[in-house]
Amino acid sequence: MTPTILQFQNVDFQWADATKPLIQNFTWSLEPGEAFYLDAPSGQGKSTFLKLATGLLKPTRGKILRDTKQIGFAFQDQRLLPWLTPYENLKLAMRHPDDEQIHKLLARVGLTQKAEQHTSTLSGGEAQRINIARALLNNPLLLVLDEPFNGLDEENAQICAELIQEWKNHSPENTLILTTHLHKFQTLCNAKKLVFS
Amino acid sequence: MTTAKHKIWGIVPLLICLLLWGGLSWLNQGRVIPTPLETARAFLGIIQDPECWQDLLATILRGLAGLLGGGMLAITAGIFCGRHPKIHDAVSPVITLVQSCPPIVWISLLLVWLSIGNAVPFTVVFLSVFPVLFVNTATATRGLDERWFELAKIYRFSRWKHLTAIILPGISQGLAAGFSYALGITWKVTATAEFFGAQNGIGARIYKCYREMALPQLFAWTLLIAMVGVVIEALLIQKIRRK
Repeated sequence: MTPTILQFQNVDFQWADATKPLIQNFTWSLEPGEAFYLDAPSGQGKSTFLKLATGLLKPTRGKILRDTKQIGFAFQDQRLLPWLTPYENLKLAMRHPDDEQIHKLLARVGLTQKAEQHTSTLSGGEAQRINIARALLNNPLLLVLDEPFNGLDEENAQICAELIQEWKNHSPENTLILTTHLHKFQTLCNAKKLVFS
Repeated sequence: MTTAKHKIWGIVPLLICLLLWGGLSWLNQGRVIPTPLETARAFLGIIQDPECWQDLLATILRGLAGLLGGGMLAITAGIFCGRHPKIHDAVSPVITLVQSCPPIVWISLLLVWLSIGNAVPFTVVFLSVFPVLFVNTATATRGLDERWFELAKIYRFSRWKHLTAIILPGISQGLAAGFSYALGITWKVTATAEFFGAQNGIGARIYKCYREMALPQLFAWTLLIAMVGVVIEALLIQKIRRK
Protein backbone atom coordinates (compact mmCIF):
# COMPACT_ATOMS: atom_id res chain seq x y z
CA MET A 1 0.00 0.00 0.00
CA THR A 2 1.33 3.47 -0.90
CA PRO A 3 2.15 5.53 2.20
CA THR A 4 0.13 8.69 2.55
CA ILE A 5 0.81 11.87 4.48
CA LEU A 6 -2.78 13.06 4.38
CA GLN A 7 -6.06 11.35 3.57
CA PHE A 8 -9.54 12.80 3.12
CA GLN A 9 -12.17 10.04 3.34
CA ASN A 10 -15.66 11.03 2.15
CA VAL A 11 -15.30 14.44 3.74
CA ASP A 12 -18.14 16.94 3.99
CA PHE A 13 -17.67 20.37 5.47
CA GLN A 14 -20.39 22.91 6.08
CA TRP A 15 -20.28 26.08 8.19
CA ALA A 16 -22.96 26.13 10.91
CA ASP A 17 -24.77 29.10 9.37
CA ALA A 18 -24.46 27.97 5.73
CA THR A 19 -27.27 26.48 3.66
CA LYS A 20 -25.10 24.07 1.66
CA PRO A 21 -21.79 22.27 2.20
CA LEU A 22 -18.56 23.91 1.08
CA ILE A 23 -16.95 20.51 0.51
CA GLN A 24 -19.02 17.45 -0.31
CA ASN A 25 -18.06 13.78 -0.26
CA PHE A 26 -14.41 14.54 -1.00
CA THR A 27 -11.93 11.69 -1.05
CA TRP A 28 -8.27 12.34 -1.71
CA SER A 29 -4.87 11.23 -0.55
CA LEU A 30 -1.57 13.05 -0.55
CA GLU A 31 1.60 11.01 -0.85
CA PRO A 32 4.99 12.06 0.54
CA GLY A 33 6.87 14.28 -1.88
CA GLU A 34 3.81 15.44 -3.81
CA ALA A 35 2.89 19.08 -4.39
CA PHE A 36 -0.56 20.49 -5.09
CA TYR A 37 -2.09 23.88 -5.62
CA LEU A 38 -5.74 24.44 -4.89
CA ASP A 39 -7.82 25.64 -7.75
CA ALA A 40 -11.05 27.37 -6.77
CA PRO A 41 -12.47 30.84 -7.20
CA SER A 42 -12.12 33.32 -4.36
CA GLY A 43 -14.43 32.57 -1.42
CA GLN A 44 -14.90 28.92 -2.42
CA GLY A 45 -13.14 27.53 0.65
CA LYS A 46 -9.43 27.27 -0.17
CA SER A 47 -8.42 28.52 3.30
CA THR A 48 -11.05 26.27 4.89
CA PHE A 49 -9.60 23.30 3.00
CA LEU A 50 -6.13 24.10 4.33
CA LYS A 51 -7.49 24.37 7.87
CA LEU A 52 -9.15 20.96 7.47
CA ALA A 53 -5.90 19.51 6.11
CA THR A 54 -3.92 20.78 9.10
CA GLY A 55 -6.47 19.85 11.76
CA LEU A 56 -7.52 23.41 12.61
CA LEU A 57 -11.07 22.50 11.56
CA LYS A 58 -12.93 19.22 11.90
CA PRO A 59 -15.01 17.82 9.01
CA THR A 60 -18.79 17.78 9.35
CA ARG A 61 -18.76 14.22 8.03
CA GLY A 62 -16.05 11.75 7.02
CA LYS A 63 -12.49 11.36 8.21
CA ILE A 64 -9.20 13.17 7.70
CA LEU A 65 -6.08 11.19 8.57
CA ARG A 66 -2.69 12.84 8.98
CA ASP A 67 0.52 10.89 9.16
CA THR A 68 2.72 13.74 10.37
CA LYS A 69 2.80 16.44 12.99
CA GLN A 70 5.69 18.21 11.30
CA ILE A 71 3.61 20.89 9.64
CA GLY A 72 4.59 24.41 8.59
CA PHE A 73 1.75 26.81 7.82
CA ALA A 74 2.06 30.27 6.29
CA PHE A 75 -1.28 31.84 7.13
CA GLN A 76 -2.96 34.20 4.70
CA ASP A 77 -3.23 36.82 7.47
CA GLN A 78 0.37 36.29 8.66
CA ARG A 79 -0.44 36.03 12.37
CA LEU A 80 2.75 37.43 13.81
CA LEU A 81 2.35 38.07 17.52
CA PRO A 82 2.36 41.88 17.69
CA TRP A 83 4.00 42.01 21.14
CA LEU A 84 7.07 40.14 19.90
CA THR A 85 9.86 41.10 17.53
CA PRO A 86 10.28 39.20 14.21
CA TYR A 87 13.19 37.29 15.78
CA GLU A 88 11.07 36.33 18.81
CA ASN A 89 8.19 35.29 16.56
CA LEU A 90 10.49 32.90 14.74
CA LYS A 91 12.12 31.60 17.90
CA LEU A 92 8.72 30.92 19.46
CA ALA A 93 7.70 28.70 16.55
CA MET A 94 10.84 26.56 16.75
CA ARG A 95 10.63 23.22 18.50
CA HIS A 96 14.33 23.38 19.34
CA PRO A 97 15.38 27.04 19.11
CA ASP A 98 18.47 27.50 16.98
CA ASP A 99 19.70 31.09 16.76
CA GLU A 100 21.96 30.38 13.81
CA GLN A 101 19.12 28.99 11.71
CA ILE A 102 16.85 31.90 12.62
CA HIS A 103 19.45 34.48 11.62
CA LYS A 104 20.22 32.56 8.42
CA LEU A 105 16.54 32.61 7.42
CA LEU A 106 16.17 36.28 8.38
CA ALA A 107 19.14 37.06 6.14
CA ARG A 108 17.65 35.05 3.28
CA VAL A 109 14.40 37.01 3.42
CA GLY A 110 16.36 40.28 3.77
CA LEU A 111 15.15 41.18 7.24
CA THR A 112 18.27 40.97 9.41
CA GLN A 113 18.06 44.71 10.11
CA LYS A 114 14.47 44.39 11.32
CA ALA A 115 14.98 41.31 13.50
CA GLU A 116 14.72 43.20 16.79
CA GLN A 117 12.19 45.83 15.77
CA HIS A 118 8.63 45.84 16.96
CA THR A 119 6.54 43.60 14.68
CA SER A 120 3.90 46.32 14.33
CA THR A 121 6.46 48.49 12.49
CA LEU A 122 6.85 45.92 9.67
CA SER A 123 5.24 46.54 6.31
CA GLY A 124 2.75 43.98 4.94
CA GLY A 125 5.41 42.51 2.66
CA GLU A 126 7.96 42.24 5.46
CA ALA A 127 5.46 40.52 7.74
CA GLN A 128 4.66 38.12 4.92
CA ARG A 129 8.33 37.20 4.53
CA ILE A 130 8.56 36.45 8.27
CA ASN A 131 5.38 34.38 7.93
CA ILE A 132 7.00 32.27 5.18
CA ALA A 133 10.29 32.00 7.09
CA ARG A 134 8.39 30.78 10.16
CA ALA A 135 6.60 28.11 8.12
CA LEU A 136 9.96 26.78 6.86
CA LEU A 137 11.78 27.06 10.17
CA ASN A 138 11.25 23.56 11.55
CA ASN A 139 11.99 21.94 8.20
CA PRO A 140 8.44 20.55 8.04
CA LEU A 141 7.39 17.42 6.25
CA LEU A 142 4.13 19.05 5.15
CA LEU A 143 4.23 22.70 4.14
CA VAL A 144 0.94 24.55 3.77
CA LEU A 145 1.02 27.98 2.17
CA ASP A 146 -2.08 30.14 1.96
CA GLU A 147 -1.51 32.91 -0.59
CA PRO A 148 2.18 33.18 0.40
CA PHE A 149 3.03 35.81 -2.21
CA ASN A 150 0.36 38.31 -1.21
CA GLY A 151 1.84 41.74 -0.61
CA LEU A 152 5.29 40.78 -1.94
CA ASP A 153 6.99 42.66 -4.74
CA GLU A 154 8.36 40.60 -7.62
CA GLU A 155 11.90 40.40 -6.25
CA ASN A 156 10.86 39.25 -2.78
CA ALA A 157 8.25 36.85 -4.19
CA GLN A 158 11.05 35.27 -6.25
CA ILE A 159 13.33 35.00 -3.18
CA CYS A 160 10.55 33.31 -1.21
CA ALA A 161 9.74 30.97 -4.11
CA GLU A 162 13.41 29.93 -4.21
CA LEU A 163 13.39 29.27 -0.47
CA ILE A 164 10.32 27.06 -0.86
CA GLN A 165 11.90 25.24 -3.80
CA GLU A 166 15.10 24.65 -1.74
CA TRP A 167 13.03 23.21 1.10
CA LYS A 168 11.21 20.95 -1.39
CA ASN A 169 14.48 19.75 -2.91
CA HIS A 170 15.97 19.12 0.54
CA SER A 171 14.07 15.83 0.92
CA PRO A 172 12.04 13.66 -1.45
CA GLU A 173 9.51 13.29 1.37
CA ASN A 174 8.75 17.02 1.61
CA THR A 175 5.14 17.65 0.62
CA LEU A 176 3.46 20.90 -0.35
CA ILE A 177 -0.07 22.29 -0.59
CA LEU A 178 -0.49 25.89 -1.63
CA THR A 179 -3.02 28.40 -2.77
CA THR A 180 -2.02 31.36 -4.88
CA HIS A 181 -3.79 33.52 -7.40
CA LEU A 182 -0.48 34.20 -9.19
CA HIS A 183 -0.32 31.83 -12.16
CA LYS A 184 3.47 31.81 -12.35
CA PHE A 185 3.72 30.35 -8.83
CA GLN A 186 0.89 27.82 -9.13
CA THR A 187 3.24 25.27 -10.55
CA LEU A 188 5.96 25.97 -7.97
CA CYS A 189 7.73 22.70 -7.09
CA ASN A 190 5.84 21.10 -10.00
CA ALA A 191 2.59 21.41 -8.08
CA LYS A 192 -0.43 19.71 -9.59
CA LYS A 193 -3.89 21.20 -9.65
CA LEU A 194 -6.36 20.03 -7.02
CA VAL A 195 -10.07 20.70 -7.41
CA PHE A 196 -11.94 20.01 -4.20
CA SER A 197 -15.34 21.67 -4.50
CA MET B 1 0.09 69.05 24.44
CA THR B 2 3.48 68.43 26.08
CA THR B 3 3.88 66.15 29.12
CA ALA B 4 4.91 69.14 31.30
CA LYS B 5 1.70 70.97 30.39
CA HIS B 6 -0.31 67.80 31.12
CA LYS B 7 1.27 67.62 34.58
CA ILE B 8 0.45 71.27 35.30
CA TRP B 9 -3.16 70.70 34.28
CA GLY B 10 -3.21 67.62 36.55
CA ILE B 11 -2.43 69.84 39.56
CA VAL B 12 -5.35 72.20 38.91
CA PRO B 13 -8.12 69.84 40.20
CA LEU B 14 -6.02 69.15 43.32
CA LEU B 15 -5.72 72.88 43.98
CA ILE B 16 -9.49 73.30 43.51
CA CYS B 17 -10.12 70.49 46.06
CA LEU B 18 -7.70 72.13 48.49
CA LEU B 19 -9.47 75.49 48.09
CA LEU B 20 -12.89 73.87 48.61
CA TRP B 21 -11.61 72.06 51.69
CA GLY B 22 -10.13 75.29 53.08
CA GLY B 23 -13.40 77.12 52.34
CA LEU B 24 -15.57 74.49 54.07
CA SER B 25 -13.26 74.38 57.06
CA TRP B 26 -13.33 78.20 57.31
CA LEU B 27 -17.16 78.17 57.14
CA ASN B 28 -17.54 75.84 60.15
CA GLN B 29 -14.52 77.40 61.90
CA GLY B 30 -12.60 74.12 61.95
CA ARG B 31 -15.06 72.42 64.31
CA VAL B 32 -15.80 69.27 62.27
CA ILE B 33 -13.51 69.90 59.29
CA PRO B 34 -9.91 70.69 60.24
CA THR B 35 -8.10 73.23 58.09
CA PRO B 36 -5.54 72.01 55.54
CA LEU B 37 -2.85 73.67 57.69
CA GLU B 38 -3.93 71.81 60.85
CA THR B 39 -4.00 68.58 58.85
CA ALA B 40 -0.52 69.26 57.47
CA ARG B 41 0.80 69.83 61.01
CA ALA B 42 -0.86 66.61 62.21
CA PHE B 43 0.59 64.78 59.17
CA LEU B 44 4.12 65.93 60.02
CA GLY B 45 3.57 64.86 63.64
CA ILE B 46 2.38 61.41 62.55
CA ILE B 47 5.24 60.67 60.16
CA GLN B 48 7.79 61.69 62.79
CA ASP B 49 6.41 59.01 65.13
CA PRO B 50 8.23 55.65 64.58
CA GLU B 51 5.01 53.77 65.36
CA CYS B 52 3.43 55.34 62.29
CA TRP B 53 5.78 53.39 60.02
CA GLN B 54 4.92 50.12 61.78
CA ASP B 55 1.20 50.84 61.25
CA LEU B 56 1.84 51.80 57.65
CA LEU B 57 3.86 48.63 57.05
CA ALA B 58 1.17 46.46 58.68
CA THR B 59 -1.53 47.96 56.42
CA ILE B 60 0.58 47.65 53.27
CA LEU B 61 1.53 44.03 54.01
CA ARG B 62 -2.06 43.00 54.81
CA GLY B 63 -3.39 44.79 51.74
CA LEU B 64 -0.75 43.46 49.35
CA ALA B 65 -1.01 39.91 50.74
CA GLY B 66 -4.78 39.90 50.19
CA LEU B 67 -4.37 41.49 46.75
CA LEU B 68 -1.67 39.04 45.66
CA GLY B 69 -3.48 36.01 47.10
CA GLY B 70 -6.83 36.99 45.57
CA GLY B 71 -5.10 38.13 42.38
CA MET B 72 -3.16 34.89 41.84
CA LEU B 73 -6.24 32.75 42.32
CA ALA B 74 -8.38 35.09 40.19
CA ILE B 75 -5.89 35.08 37.30
CA THR B 76 -5.50 31.30 37.38
CA ALA B 77 -9.26 30.66 37.61
CA GLY B 78 -10.04 33.51 35.19
CA ILE B 79 -7.71 32.18 32.48
CA PHE B 80 -9.08 28.65 32.92
CA CYS B 81 -12.70 29.83 32.73
CA GLY B 82 -11.88 32.21 29.87
CA ARG B 83 -10.70 29.21 27.83
CA HIS B 84 -13.72 27.12 28.92
CA PRO B 85 -16.76 29.36 28.27
CA LYS B 86 -19.28 26.77 29.53
CA ILE B 87 -17.59 26.62 32.95
CA HIS B 88 -17.30 30.43 32.95
CA ASP B 89 -21.02 30.79 32.29
CA ALA B 90 -21.77 28.25 35.03
CA VAL B 91 -19.70 29.94 37.76
CA SER B 92 -20.58 33.53 36.81
CA PRO B 93 -23.72 33.77 39.03
CA VAL B 94 -21.71 32.66 42.10
CA ILE B 95 -18.99 35.22 41.34
CA THR B 96 -21.62 37.96 40.92
CA LEU B 97 -23.10 36.93 44.28
CA VAL B 98 -19.71 37.21 46.03
CA GLN B 99 -19.06 40.52 44.25
CA SER B 100 -22.40 41.93 45.41
CA CYS B 101 -21.68 41.22 49.09
CA PRO B 102 -20.61 44.41 50.88
CA PRO B 103 -17.21 44.06 52.64
CA ILE B 104 -18.89 44.84 55.97
CA VAL B 105 -20.70 41.46 55.75
CA TRP B 106 -17.37 39.64 55.39
CA ILE B 107 -15.84 41.73 58.19
CA SER B 108 -18.71 40.90 60.57
CA LEU B 109 -18.59 37.19 59.81
CA LEU B 110 -14.82 36.95 59.88
CA LEU B 111 -14.62 38.78 63.20
CA VAL B 112 -16.95 36.12 64.62
CA TRP B 113 -15.06 33.24 63.01
CA LEU B 114 -11.45 34.41 63.21
CA SER B 115 -11.45 37.15 65.88
CA ILE B 116 -9.22 40.24 65.74
CA GLY B 117 -5.89 39.94 63.87
CA ASN B 118 -4.19 39.83 60.48
CA ALA B 119 -6.54 37.18 59.10
CA VAL B 120 -9.57 39.48 58.92
CA PRO B 121 -8.11 42.26 56.70
CA PHE B 122 -6.26 39.68 54.57
CA THR B 123 -9.37 37.57 53.98
CA VAL B 124 -11.66 40.55 53.36
CA VAL B 125 -9.26 41.99 50.77
CA PHE B 126 -8.90 38.54 49.21
CA LEU B 127 -12.69 38.15 48.92
CA SER B 128 -13.16 41.71 47.66
CA VAL B 129 -10.54 41.69 44.90
CA PHE B 130 -11.06 38.10 43.73
CA PRO B 131 -14.40 38.63 41.88
CA VAL B 132 -13.20 41.87 40.25
CA LEU B 133 -9.99 40.33 38.95
CA PHE B 134 -11.65 37.03 38.03
CA VAL B 135 -14.29 38.74 35.86
CA ASN B 136 -11.62 40.95 34.33
CA THR B 137 -9.26 38.07 33.51
CA ALA B 138 -11.95 35.69 32.25
CA THR B 139 -13.49 38.36 30.00
CA ALA B 140 -10.10 39.40 28.61
CA THR B 141 -9.14 35.75 27.99
CA ARG B 142 -12.44 35.05 26.23
CA GLY B 143 -11.80 38.07 24.05
CA LEU B 144 -8.44 36.79 22.81
CA ASP B 145 -8.27 36.20 19.08
CA GLU B 146 -8.77 32.48 18.37
CA ARG B 147 -6.34 32.79 15.48
CA TRP B 148 -3.45 33.00 17.97
CA PHE B 149 -4.51 29.61 19.34
CA GLU B 150 -4.60 28.17 15.82
CA LEU B 151 -1.04 29.37 15.39
CA ALA B 152 -0.13 27.70 18.70
CA LYS B 153 -1.75 24.45 17.57
CA ILE B 154 0.17 24.34 14.28
CA TYR B 155 3.50 25.07 15.98
CA ARG B 156 2.62 22.73 18.88
CA PHE B 157 3.16 25.23 21.67
CA SER B 158 3.51 23.77 25.16
CA ARG B 159 1.03 24.91 27.84
CA TRP B 160 3.73 27.19 29.20
CA LYS B 161 4.23 28.83 25.79
CA HIS B 162 0.45 29.24 25.44
CA LEU B 163 0.41 31.07 28.76
CA THR B 164 3.52 33.21 28.43
CA ALA B 165 3.50 33.97 24.70
CA ILE B 166 -0.22 34.33 23.98
CA ILE B 167 -2.51 34.56 26.99
CA LEU B 168 -0.60 36.79 29.42
CA PRO B 169 0.64 39.34 26.84
CA GLY B 170 -2.81 39.32 25.23
CA ILE B 171 -4.66 40.12 28.46
CA SER B 172 -2.02 42.35 30.08
CA GLN B 173 -3.80 45.65 29.31
CA GLY B 174 -7.13 44.40 30.66
CA LEU B 175 -5.33 42.92 33.65
CA ALA B 176 -3.59 46.23 34.41
CA ALA B 177 -6.95 48.01 34.41
CA GLY B 178 -8.38 45.34 36.72
CA PHE B 179 -5.42 45.53 39.11
CA SER B 180 -5.63 49.32 39.19
CA TYR B 181 -9.28 49.08 40.25
CA ALA B 182 -8.54 46.23 42.70
CA LEU B 183 -5.73 48.26 44.25
CA GLY B 184 -8.20 51.05 45.03
CA ILE B 185 -10.51 48.50 46.66
CA THR B 186 -7.57 47.01 48.58
CA TRP B 187 -6.76 50.11 50.64
CA LYS B 188 -10.40 50.96 51.30
CA VAL B 189 -11.18 47.42 52.46
CA THR B 190 -7.94 46.97 54.45
CA ALA B 191 -8.54 50.20 56.37
CA THR B 192 -12.20 49.29 56.99
CA ALA B 193 -11.29 45.80 58.23
CA GLU B 194 -8.57 47.26 60.48
CA PHE B 195 -11.05 49.87 61.75
CA PHE B 196 -13.27 47.10 63.08
CA GLY B 197 -10.95 44.20 63.61
CA ALA B 198 -7.28 45.04 64.18
CA GLN B 199 -5.12 46.46 66.93
CA ASN B 200 -2.66 48.17 64.60
CA GLY B 201 -2.55 49.48 61.05
CA ILE B 202 -3.87 52.70 59.54
CA GLY B 203 -7.53 51.62 59.94
CA ALA B 204 -6.98 50.97 63.68
CA ARG B 205 -5.31 54.41 63.98
CA ILE B 206 -8.28 56.05 62.24
CA TYR B 207 -10.60 54.28 64.71
CA LYS B 208 -8.55 55.66 67.62
CA CYS B 209 -8.69 59.20 66.16
CA TYR B 210 -12.46 58.85 65.70
CA ARG B 211 -12.92 57.72 69.32
CA GLU B 212 -10.80 60.65 70.55
CA MET B 213 -12.35 63.06 68.04
CA ALA B 214 -8.81 63.94 66.89
CA LEU B 215 -10.00 65.19 63.48
CA PRO B 216 -6.73 66.68 62.12
CA GLN B 217 -5.02 63.31 62.84
CA LEU B 218 -7.94 61.43 61.26
CA PHE B 219 -7.57 63.54 58.12
CA ALA B 220 -3.79 63.06 58.18
CA TRP B 221 -4.05 59.25 58.37
CA THR B 222 -6.59 59.33 55.54
CA LEU B 223 -4.15 61.39 53.49
CA LEU B 224 -1.41 58.87 54.24
CA ILE B 225 -3.41 55.84 53.06
CA ALA B 226 -4.47 57.70 49.92
CA MET B 227 -0.80 58.47 49.23
CA VAL B 228 0.11 54.79 49.71
CA GLY B 229 -2.49 53.90 47.06
CA VAL B 230 -1.14 56.46 44.59
CA VAL B 231 2.51 55.44 45.10
CA ILE B 232 1.83 51.70 44.78
CA GLU B 233 -0.37 52.30 41.72
CA ALA B 234 2.50 54.28 40.15
CA LEU B 235 5.09 51.63 41.04
CA LEU B 236 3.18 48.49 40.05
CA ILE B 237 0.33 49.21 37.67
CA GLN B 238 1.88 51.90 35.50
CA LYS B 239 4.79 49.55 34.82
CA ILE B 240 2.44 46.81 33.58
CA ARG B 241 0.56 49.36 31.45
CA ARG B 242 3.75 50.53 29.78
CA LYS B 243 4.77 46.96 28.83
